Amino acid sequence: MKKIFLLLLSVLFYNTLIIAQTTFSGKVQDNEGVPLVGATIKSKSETTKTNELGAFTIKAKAGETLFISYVGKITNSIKAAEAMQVILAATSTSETEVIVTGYSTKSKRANTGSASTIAIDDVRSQPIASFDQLLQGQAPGLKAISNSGQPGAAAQVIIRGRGSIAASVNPLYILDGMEITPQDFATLNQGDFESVTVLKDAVTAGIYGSRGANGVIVITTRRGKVGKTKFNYDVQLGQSQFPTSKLQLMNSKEKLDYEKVNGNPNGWSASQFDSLSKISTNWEDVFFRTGQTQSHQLSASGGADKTRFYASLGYLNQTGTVKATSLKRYTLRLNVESGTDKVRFGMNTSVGFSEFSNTQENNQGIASPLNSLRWTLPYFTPKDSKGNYVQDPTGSQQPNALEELLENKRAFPQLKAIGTVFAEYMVPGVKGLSVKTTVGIDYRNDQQTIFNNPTTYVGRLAPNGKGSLFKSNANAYRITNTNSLNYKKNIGGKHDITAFAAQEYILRKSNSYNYTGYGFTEPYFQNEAGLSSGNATNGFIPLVGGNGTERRLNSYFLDAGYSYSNKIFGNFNIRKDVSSAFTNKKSALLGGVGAAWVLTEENFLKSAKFINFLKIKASYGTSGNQEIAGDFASTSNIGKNSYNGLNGYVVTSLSSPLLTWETRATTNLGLDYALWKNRIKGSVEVYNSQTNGLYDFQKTPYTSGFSTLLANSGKLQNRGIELSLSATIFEISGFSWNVNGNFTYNKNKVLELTNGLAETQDANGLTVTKVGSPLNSFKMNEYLGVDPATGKSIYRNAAGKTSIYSPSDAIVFGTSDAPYFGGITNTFTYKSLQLSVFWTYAFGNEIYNNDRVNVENPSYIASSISRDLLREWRQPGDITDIPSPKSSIDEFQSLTTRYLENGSFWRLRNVELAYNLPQRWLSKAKLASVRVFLQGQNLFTITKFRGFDPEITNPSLGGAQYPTLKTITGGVSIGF
Amino acid sequence: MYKKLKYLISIFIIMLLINACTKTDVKREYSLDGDEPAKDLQLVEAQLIGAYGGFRSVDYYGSNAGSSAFAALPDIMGSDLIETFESLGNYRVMSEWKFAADEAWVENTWAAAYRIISRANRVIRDVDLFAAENQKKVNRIKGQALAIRAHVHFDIMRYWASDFKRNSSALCAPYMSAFESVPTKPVRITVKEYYDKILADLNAAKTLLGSGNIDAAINTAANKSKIDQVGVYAMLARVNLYAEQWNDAMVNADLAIAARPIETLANFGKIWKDEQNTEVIWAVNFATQAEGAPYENVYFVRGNRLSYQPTYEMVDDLALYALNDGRFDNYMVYDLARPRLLKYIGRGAAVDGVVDWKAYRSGEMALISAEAKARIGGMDVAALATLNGLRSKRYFSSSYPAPATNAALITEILRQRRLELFAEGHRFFDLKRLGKLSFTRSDCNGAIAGNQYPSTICTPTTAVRSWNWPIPFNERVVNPNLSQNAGY
Repeated sequence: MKKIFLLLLSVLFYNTLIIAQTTFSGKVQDNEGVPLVGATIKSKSETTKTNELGAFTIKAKAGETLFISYVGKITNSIKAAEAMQVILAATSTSETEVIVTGYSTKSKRANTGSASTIAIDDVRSQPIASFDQLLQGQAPGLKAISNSGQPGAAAQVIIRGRGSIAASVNPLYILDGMEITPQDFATLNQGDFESVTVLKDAVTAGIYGSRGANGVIVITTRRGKVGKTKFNYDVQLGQSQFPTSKLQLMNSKEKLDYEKVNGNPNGWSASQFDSLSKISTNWEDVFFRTGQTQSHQLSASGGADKTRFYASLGYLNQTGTVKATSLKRYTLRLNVESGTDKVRFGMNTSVGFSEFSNTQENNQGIASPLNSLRWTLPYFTPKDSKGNYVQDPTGSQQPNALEELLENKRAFPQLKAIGTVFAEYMVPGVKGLSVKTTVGIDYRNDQQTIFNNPTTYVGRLAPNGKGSLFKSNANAYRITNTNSLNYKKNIGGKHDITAFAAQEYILRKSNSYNYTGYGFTEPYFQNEAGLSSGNATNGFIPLVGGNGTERRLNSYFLDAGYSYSNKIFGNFNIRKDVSSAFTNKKSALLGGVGAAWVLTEENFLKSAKFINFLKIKASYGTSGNQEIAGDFASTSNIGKNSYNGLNGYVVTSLSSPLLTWETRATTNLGLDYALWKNRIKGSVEVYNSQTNGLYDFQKTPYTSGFSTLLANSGKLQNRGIELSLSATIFEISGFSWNVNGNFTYNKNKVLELTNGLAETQDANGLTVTKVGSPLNSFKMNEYLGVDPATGKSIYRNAAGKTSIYSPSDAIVFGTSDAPYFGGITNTFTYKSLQLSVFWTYAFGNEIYNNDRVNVENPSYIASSISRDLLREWRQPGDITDIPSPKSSIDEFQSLTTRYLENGSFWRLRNVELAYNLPQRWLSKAKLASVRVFLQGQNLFTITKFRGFDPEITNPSLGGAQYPTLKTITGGVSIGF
Repeated sequence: MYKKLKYLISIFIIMLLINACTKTDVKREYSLDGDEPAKDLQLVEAQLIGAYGGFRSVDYYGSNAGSSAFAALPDIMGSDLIETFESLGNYRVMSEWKFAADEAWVENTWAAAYRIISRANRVIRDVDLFAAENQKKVNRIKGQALAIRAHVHFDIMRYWASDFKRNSSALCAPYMSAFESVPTKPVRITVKEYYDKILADLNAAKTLLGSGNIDAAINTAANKSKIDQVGVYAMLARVNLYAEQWNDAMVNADLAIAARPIETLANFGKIWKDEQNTEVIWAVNFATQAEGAPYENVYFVRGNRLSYQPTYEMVDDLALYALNDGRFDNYMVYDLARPRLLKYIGRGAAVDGVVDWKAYRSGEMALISAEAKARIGGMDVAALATLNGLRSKRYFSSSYPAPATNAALITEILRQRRLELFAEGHRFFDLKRLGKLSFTRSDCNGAIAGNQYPSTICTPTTAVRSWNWPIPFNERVVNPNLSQNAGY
């Protein structure tokens, strides 16, 4: 066999020799006229590359077709001639994009698994302080839900469906090779990010082994480029508004009339009714303001010889639309890399400090100002004529929302420092082999200051009614050390082999302490200076607490790739992880295998002119999850309580000795395509993932003294389809219209639960985990309306209808996790002017609106209530959907579908109009580039959800919602 | 050669790095390993303290945002408190008796009770390991743990059993006698079997806690935060009262009264300020605001939110609290528009609701003893004497009813129970024990005092099934061996 192969080769070789050869020269540049260094030029006899000036010489036959290619550019061809000028246009096709895995970089062409890159350049200027919020609608398979509009609040990001119940479903975030947490984004500057890659299946995310089950988001920060130092200044200013709520409350007149017919619960006299009806306060106006956003970033990048650097300084100041909420952030970054041909050494460092002032959200406490907003009666004013805060004189005693908001302080400063250092050494003697070691330190300090002024409701609740000051300090650090061997080899021109073997060690440690001091007996201080020394009589004895924990992970892994002729690719990885989180089953062996085939390289498709690129791929593998709460969850734990001034010890959890990794096995099939001269590009992927050894807080009989036991039992499935499409609709004389969109359908299904159980109720009391249904499926009694004859609520039961509420009639409804979601961007470009319109959507989910329960519950008719109650049942014959508020007639039940609402939304997430100033103006001003833009965020939302905002991550909107903001900003980016 | 050396050195460095940090064992620094039995008697005793701490649970004697099942709730569900418009409505389902099998207050109570039992069982499991080391100390710890176990089981019975007769074959609840490292699915046993176990535990505790059998006093004159032998007498008295074992009830109640004489009227008010505890047998300690308070879901004094107020007849009907009744001013404020409970407003001069919960005191013992004597028959004189022993220390003058017949005597004893033990977690259970007596909350429609109330249900007892709480819906999902009470 081998002999025949050699013979064939020699025949081919011989053939090429007998053709007459001439040397031609030319230049390769991009469409902006910049010479391309290192572009590949192929003739039949030779392959060569351009030099630093973009010039090349090549031996070829006159008139022969030459192929010129360059990473990130569309491959061009030209007939061999003298002084050729080749222009390569930029491309974003899947042929040339790069996948950053965090450990290495691969071409997207060679990728056998599922990975999406996020066009960070298009989204980084969105005026959002927490980067993860920007991910919404950006990649198929990735669902990001805002949950909060407070400046700096993190989003919930889930990749390819919830893969776990009891463990974290957050993806793993890797910044320059270091794991970080979503909370860190408030103190990281997205202006420094260079690439963002989402890894979704077992061969891509699988390299992260026991941490990769929820997908991985790999972020790299900017690196300098060799050349003249470039400076950039970006500035952005804007304003935010609070959106309007679909849930409307009664105004003063309506409310007073309602009270009259419902037993005058607040006991107003006739003259009081009269005077109160003259006051009508819109508490939203009292509470909300126009938020201000400003951000500045100054950066410099450059390099000489083998040294490159990037440095930046960022400042962001965003004030929320709710008074007293804001985020201020200062960030610094320096990335430096240097070395010789043999040794590379580099360091990426970032320091950030942010100060976050917030208000409480998503709870049901009367002291949360955002709840008071809903519950405060419209016929009171926030302040009286003398400027003093008005206290609610009625029985409901709703705290004054404005006072609670303005007089108390909630500040959360965060300091974050990330540094990674790497050294890479090209091993002499073995070509293609390099050794690299990376050490990273990720440090975060979180402080909290909560001052409750003795003049406010919460301050009066403190001992002796004299306010309180809570302070906490938490330190968390993570040390990551990766030692790797990297090997690349080309065999015989067509066979490329890459191998990457590594050992990685991660140590995660955190500790915290806190205290609460009391006794602000004088009004002079709102800090430690005002605290009283405590004794048993005054009750001002401070509370002191603290905690700490640690987890370690050691891993060995191997990632190997093979490519044949740059058209058939194979990939294989295997990883062994050993975690300190478990006792008996500490280690996991995980891995994946994938293959891809570029069909357009084959003869049978070369003739199909409209297909420019077609690749099919398949992968299978496993990844793991160990992100359970508690670093000692596999053993029984004893913690502390107190009684009568003595320390008591109690068993806080039972042991689960067989606890181990949750593993997720994923099969991924995909197709990448580019059609009609790359005008239509995209991909289709289908996946099927199954979580085995699902962490489940098994319900234990309370009679044991415990309610749950964490164990690996159960199976969960996520199946889905992801579509992404980018199309150039038309492109004529400087005007172009591009559409870029993605769509995901994810079907989540519980396959198996502990001990063969068919269903368990979730801790929220609203949803169940049921075999055959998705997670977070609502289970409650179906509300059918009101019996016109009696005013009673009617529910569905097995027999049909009943007015008797019985929990055993509850049935399962939809889930709170939207199965369909995605985003779509329309970009219109006319010369240097660009308009992009970005919509996001999610549909097919339900939300339990507890915020509405609180204003429709007859228990609360004395405080502010929903306008809907105006149509409540009052007498036989009334046809309505609101039952009688009288408990003697109707028994109010909150756990019914009366409060279950459609959570689907379609949102105009971002609109941006940008203009690049023409070169002729710039050159006079000695500037490299100037971009001016105006953008609007969340300007328009279509939803049926009756609240401020349908973007809620919990199954229930508890109350006190701080919705995502409507923001309009304008900015300039100047390069010089 | 040189190249090879460099190569070898680099490989060596890699090996060194790889071996540098691979350890994946982490030492506990902030918790103890619960898989190991207690290392020493000190830890066993600390676990007993942990069990006591469980009584502060908001679903037991604590209150804020919990069921307060054995402190406020029996009065909220009873005849003598009525909801106001200041209420946030969180307990209306209980005060209107409208709860279904999935009621969270019911489930939480069940969980809180068995949690304490589990902690006591853990102590009982480990304590005997140290018998050789210090038998008397072991007795002191074990006796208290047994008493806690019996007391909590008895409280469970009061809500969930449909019948309190000593030999009743009605189903009660599981009686948990061992710490479960691996949870089991127990069945409900009959009331008779349940009583057998309660009494066995209490009798064992009584012996273990005898003064000669323990190494040190459990309580001091100033601090009655733990269960000593007198506490066990009191428990035996209460259990036997419910079981209608009149002689045992009487004997144990009298033993308790002898040890903790009834407080004089002059000092009676100080009991509620934690300034005087001669009469107190077991007071569950609430030390600071952070540890909670026992009655906040009735009157949240820090926030001045009066969710439930004494009904009109408690405040203004002289048939109940007579003008010469010294208890009234210690229990509540005479304010017809907003009558507020004063019993739990704070320790000493503090007004923060933080005060000990008096789980047992001799006032109750006197009433148990008097009732037992009256029920035994032929002991009316002794019964009246016991009753007067209490009444003489509660009234400014001795003008109170002098019952002439046994029936009148019992009526007066029960009336005194209502007055003496108002807001001490007895009312619902007394009504249930005495034959599931129906009641209508006084002036519920506001006709007399003109007050408005949010609830339109004045006679909650029409919800007959509610006398016996449902086995929590979710508990039955996990443990199908538990049968449900009738009506749910």
